[in-house]
Amino acid sequence: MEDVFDRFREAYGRDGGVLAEIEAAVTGAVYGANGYTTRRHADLLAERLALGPGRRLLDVGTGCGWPGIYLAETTGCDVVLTDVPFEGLRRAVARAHSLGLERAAVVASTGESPPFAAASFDAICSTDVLC
Amino acid sequence: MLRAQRRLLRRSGRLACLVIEVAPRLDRAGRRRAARCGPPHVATSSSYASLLRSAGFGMVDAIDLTEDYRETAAAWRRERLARADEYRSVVGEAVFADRMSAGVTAVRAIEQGLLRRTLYLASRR
Repeated sequence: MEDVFDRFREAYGRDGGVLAEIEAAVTGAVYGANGYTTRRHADLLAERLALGPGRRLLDVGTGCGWPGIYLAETTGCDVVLTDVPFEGLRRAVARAHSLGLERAAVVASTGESPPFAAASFDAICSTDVLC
Repeated sequence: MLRAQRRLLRRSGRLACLVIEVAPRLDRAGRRRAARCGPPHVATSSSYASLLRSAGFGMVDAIDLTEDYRETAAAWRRERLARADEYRSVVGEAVFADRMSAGVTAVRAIEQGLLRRTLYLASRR
């Protein structure tokens, strides 16, 4: 488990510059992500989950906040972001704060034992967490 | 994990899972090759659709995004190569080489029909 934390700490600790340029060119967004979920896919999630004001979304395995923060920002939904690596969550908090996004909350949690009440979300998304 | 997520959803709430998976209807050798080429844990003993159903979800839709996956995997490699010197100086030679190699492997596996990417949409029954 320590290796995992180290790997993510290293990955999430790199700011801006060429990494941001590459990510923007590939995914259309800059969240410190290196997966395959593009902005178009995030928009598809918003549409198919019928996200909007008053709806509550759980983003499982959010990394640095992608796509949960983007979805909250663009649809007006509330979002709870969960993941294990703390450095990614710290960056997600900073991102939400910089956007003035008060509808975003961050919780350190695994997908297997999420610390939330039953029936507390309208929608859940995970991107490349199950693979 | 899926059962835990079902518990959190309100009635008729929706779940969206974007996953990379081994393509269906491969023989045993094909599945082994796919597992080697894909991300960790890409090989499951059951399909995601059946995992969702057994966790108590009703399937709503499964959208094939494999062509997007191929394009995105190729784009990661292309954009990193276009900025190779700067990228290498940030991530180091070992990571650079690993990412370049992984990119080739992923695109090849997708083009050979070994891996696919799917958006599963399910609802709480």
